[in-house]
Amino acid sequence: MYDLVIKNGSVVDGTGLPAFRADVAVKAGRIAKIGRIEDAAHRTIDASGKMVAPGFIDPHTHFDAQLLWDGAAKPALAHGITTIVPGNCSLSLAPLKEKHRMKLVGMFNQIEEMPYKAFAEGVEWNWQTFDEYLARIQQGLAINVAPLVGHSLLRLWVMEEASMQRTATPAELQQMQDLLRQCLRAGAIGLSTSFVDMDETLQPVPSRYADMDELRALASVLGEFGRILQVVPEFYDADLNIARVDQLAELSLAYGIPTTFSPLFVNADNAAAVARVMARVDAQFARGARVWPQVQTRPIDISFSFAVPSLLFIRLPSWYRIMRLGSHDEIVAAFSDLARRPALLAEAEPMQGLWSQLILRQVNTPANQPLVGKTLAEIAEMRGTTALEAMIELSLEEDLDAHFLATDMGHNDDPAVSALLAHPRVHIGASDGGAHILSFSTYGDTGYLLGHFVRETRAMGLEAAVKKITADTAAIWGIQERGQLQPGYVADIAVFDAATIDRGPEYYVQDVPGDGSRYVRDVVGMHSVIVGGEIAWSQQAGYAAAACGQILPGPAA
Amino acid sequence: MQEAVIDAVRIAAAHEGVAEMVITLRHTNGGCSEVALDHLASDALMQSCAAARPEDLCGHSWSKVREALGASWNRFQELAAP
Repeated sequence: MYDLVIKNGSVVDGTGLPAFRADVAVKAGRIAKIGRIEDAAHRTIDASGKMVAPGFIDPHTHFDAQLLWDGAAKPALAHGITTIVPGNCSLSLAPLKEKHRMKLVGMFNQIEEMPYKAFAEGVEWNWQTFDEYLARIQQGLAINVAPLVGHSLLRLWVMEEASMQRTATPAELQQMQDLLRQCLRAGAIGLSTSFVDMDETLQPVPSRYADMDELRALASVLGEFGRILQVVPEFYDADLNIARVDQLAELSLAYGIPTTFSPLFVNADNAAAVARVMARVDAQFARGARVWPQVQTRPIDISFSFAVPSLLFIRLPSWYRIMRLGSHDEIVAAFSDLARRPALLAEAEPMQGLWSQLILRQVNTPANQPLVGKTLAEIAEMRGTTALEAMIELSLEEDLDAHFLATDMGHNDDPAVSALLAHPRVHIGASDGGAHILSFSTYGDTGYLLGHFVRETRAMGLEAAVKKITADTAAIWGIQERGQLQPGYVADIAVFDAATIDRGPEYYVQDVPGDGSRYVRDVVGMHSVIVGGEIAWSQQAGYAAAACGQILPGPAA
Repeated sequence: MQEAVIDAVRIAAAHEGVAEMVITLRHTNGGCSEVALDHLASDALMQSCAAARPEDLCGHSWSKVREALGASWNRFQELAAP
């Protein structure tokens, strides 16, 4: 008898080949058979009208801390993601000496917006080494984790305060290499580093003090294990980005390792620059190097409130002067002064198109809660005023703590983004899942891919898109026996409705330890998510109690 | 002495969900490079160049951009100094 049979679905097996009607049988956590299955099963899922695909793999996340109190990395699992890669951008939570804990918390606070209080109240610090951290998160793990070890952590462990002052000595390099070997043997899938990130005092993170000799030394260890190097380059400058592509190619060829860099954004302003970067990526692949750019699917939104001077207003001298000059009370007074109002409105009128589309995303007063999620155009119509005046009035009503959202402000050129996502040498990722929690939701990128780029704009076929976020990701990262629906593979499976799969609207939820909040998006159109052969999430029942997630190491040494 | 100057200014969406000012510098050899400034660095640059609007920054020296970046990045260092 099978443990589970998923019947009557259309199987999208992750290879990119056309979907086909078949049943999928699961036994002992593995796919036992794909075809017409009449045998009995302990549980059956009726997937009529649904797609049955491998569970999605998210290669760029920062769920390191969240996994300590949430083994499902919610809501990632509900979005069909069965494997996450935390520890990106030079930052992991191990190896970490006790005396450096607050330093690391400061970095996570700056870079990932993870509140200090969440660490204080949600984290029992009972690890120092990488294997101790993995043992800690294995408890109650409902999603698979393929963890990177952070370069900044290696430096901090070996060099302590000097890690943020200088390059490493030969002896320190040797120690870092030994430490990296320990982490890889313990289960790290690779190493992450960053050339751009800053700590909570806006000083470079430890990895940024490393020279190429150090990167070569660490890459040589990755080469012993065949593991990956993840990098955040100077993504905002094409020439620097290209230089990093060349450096990564050198490392990839010298030590036989895959490398990946993220993010890579494209819009009308930088399309030519991105084309240059991609041309260099193509050229390096042609030489035999593996340098995978990661591209996110979702556009970039901008949020602001009157309390912090957003650069959206810098073209409006009077507005910007008020917002940057003054104290809170002075800003309130200036916008409350009705005698000044006509001049302010006239100055902002040319940007009316922007103001009308702004969405009210967060307020504190109960009276305005029903307006959350509406555009200023809608609110203006309800109030019999203009979008601009509605923005001012709401800000005053909320004591400047009304938050507005301008959607699709960057990475928003659909044809350009589509072309990148479909490029054979682009790796879909860079979601930053688990980071920026106070600014926007980093969940739902896979739903946006399948909803917007597959169903709505037909920029990609469903099979090709699923391949990108399953088999391709598994192959690039060296994740074994996952990413495809094949007999013998681990039964990580997503069952979804292709006609409705999407990301839901963004909303604010208070579910972070220490009374913290974050922006999230629910999934739309997901039916069931299976991890290791067990139903981990279903639309009907939500998150299951079973914890079948595994720590996934990379290729064996 | 010739030096790089601000050639263009635009407002863009930073990946962390806020608006940033992107300065294009034109170098003496004709090449261009871009620098992204957060709101504090932008404010410092606007003040040092006595600019009312972003377009007023064009023609100013790259050193003004460097100083503005320093003003933002080092804002915690003064607090940390003994």
